[in-house]
Amino acid sequence: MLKIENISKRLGKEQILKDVSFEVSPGEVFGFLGPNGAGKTTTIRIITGLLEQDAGRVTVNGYDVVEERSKALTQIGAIVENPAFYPYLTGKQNLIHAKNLIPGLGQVDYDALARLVGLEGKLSKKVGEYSLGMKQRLGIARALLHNPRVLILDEPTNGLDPSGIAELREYLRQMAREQDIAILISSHMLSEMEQISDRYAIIDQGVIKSVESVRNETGAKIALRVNAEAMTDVLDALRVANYPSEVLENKIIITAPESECPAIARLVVPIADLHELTVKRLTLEEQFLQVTKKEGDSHAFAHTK
Amino acid sequence: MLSLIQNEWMKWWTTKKAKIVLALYVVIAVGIIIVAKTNDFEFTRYDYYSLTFVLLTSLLGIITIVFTAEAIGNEVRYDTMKHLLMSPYSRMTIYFSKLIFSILIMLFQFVFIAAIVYAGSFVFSEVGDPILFRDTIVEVVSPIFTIFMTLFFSLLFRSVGMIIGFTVLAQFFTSIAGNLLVGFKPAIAKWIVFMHLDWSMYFKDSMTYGTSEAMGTTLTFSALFVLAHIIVLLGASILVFQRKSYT
Repeated sequence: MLKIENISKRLGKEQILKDVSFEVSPGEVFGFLGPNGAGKTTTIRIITGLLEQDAGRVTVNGYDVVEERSKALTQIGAIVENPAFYPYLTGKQNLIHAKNLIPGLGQVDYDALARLVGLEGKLSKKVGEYSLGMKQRLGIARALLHNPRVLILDEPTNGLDPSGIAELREYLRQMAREQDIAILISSHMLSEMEQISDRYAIIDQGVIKSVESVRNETGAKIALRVNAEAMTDVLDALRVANYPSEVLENKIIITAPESECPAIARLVVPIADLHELTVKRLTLEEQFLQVTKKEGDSHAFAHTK
Repeated sequence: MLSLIQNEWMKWWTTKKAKIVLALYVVIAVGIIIVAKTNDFEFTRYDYYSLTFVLLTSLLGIITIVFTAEAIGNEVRYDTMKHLLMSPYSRMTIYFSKLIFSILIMLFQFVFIAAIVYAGSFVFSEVGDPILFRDTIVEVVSPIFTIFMTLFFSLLFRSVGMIIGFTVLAQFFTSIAGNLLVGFKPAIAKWIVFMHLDWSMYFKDSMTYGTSEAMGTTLTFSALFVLAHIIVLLGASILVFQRKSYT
């Protein structure tokens, strides 16, 4: 759906992006993480046609953003940096303005859109009187106005209170699932992204460090408690099956994808009494630390909550 | 393109400024009638029409700078330019929608002024000289040129105040320099574009008649000279707008 292939961008003397590649599939919420100045917004500006890359290609639903700009951008709804509106126009007039920017777009049910983002009865107010949270919601309504196939949200939770963030999270997940929209969310808030995203990419100094699944496909901690006599046999069996394991406080700790639990259980049950099997998921922060440790980097950003 | 022009209209008409300006034209036109009547000025229809029309079109020149500067300057001010540029429309289409709207809104005000002043002239019973359509229509050249120039400056400066200030100063000082040069070095003055915006200088019954003779220019020369400047301003604006990054 959204495909970024080897894009590079230089601004002045500085290389902002180096060979950035990732893909967002329909129905997926994809987190785009990185510290401030890592290249997130530049990547988003390239995807939305605001900036042209020096090398590489961005396609939306098969359309190249540079070569087939109009077709590609019709498929995108986006909030870049912050939701900007004309403060002297009402919420509805701002949405009408946005509708007029999409060639050939038919009638829009503004009231339904307002209900969808929790702005019922507020569209007749001037945007200058809106709170930041209301502007964020209106920004999302504007981005969804033309039923885009790809939704791009740059720091969408800025200015939202905890209940607003929770609502937005539920809403985005539901929308991705039900309408099969590919959603790209950029943020530097790891805890938020952990709850919203299916997969994520970490960008730092213009380079993609890792593309992983939030659901611990690369490594959860699976803890087993078996009868003491069988401990050695179980460890041998796990080693033979290539599961890295260690013993900690009478428990066997295995680092493996969560999806391996049934296979591990099948391996252990014939040779030991399995008293307990628990899964401890790695937090996004732990995964991030793992990735940056692997790459030899370390960033304060990882601890941002 | 039409939908983009509709957007420009919505943004313009929603502001109080648009209505205040139209009201101001009416107040000035009516004010002059009241002043003339209460002071027993011996105004003919022609006197009232030519005086008030010149006054209001001078005001229109300033108002045109403000509205045109805001057409792009406000998009930068409210950070909404990125939304225009993220739309499937090309930058060229967006620029032309701003340009066409600025011209249309200026023409709308121009016709509005001509209509109220013409209607107001009927308050005076004496006809005087005939009111010529020609004298009215030549007044449109200057605001059209102003639009192209202001749009160009709006791509160079980010603040609306800077755009307005720079356009007004450029126009003001160059016109003064041109008018001074007409007296001393008319051959140089003829190469200043602002000296070619008032085409009434080519008509014998006009107050400005004679300027063109001093400069040794013809109406065709003035028309082509202004057109050449418009083409250069348009080309430069398109070039800048295509490359400019609004971050």
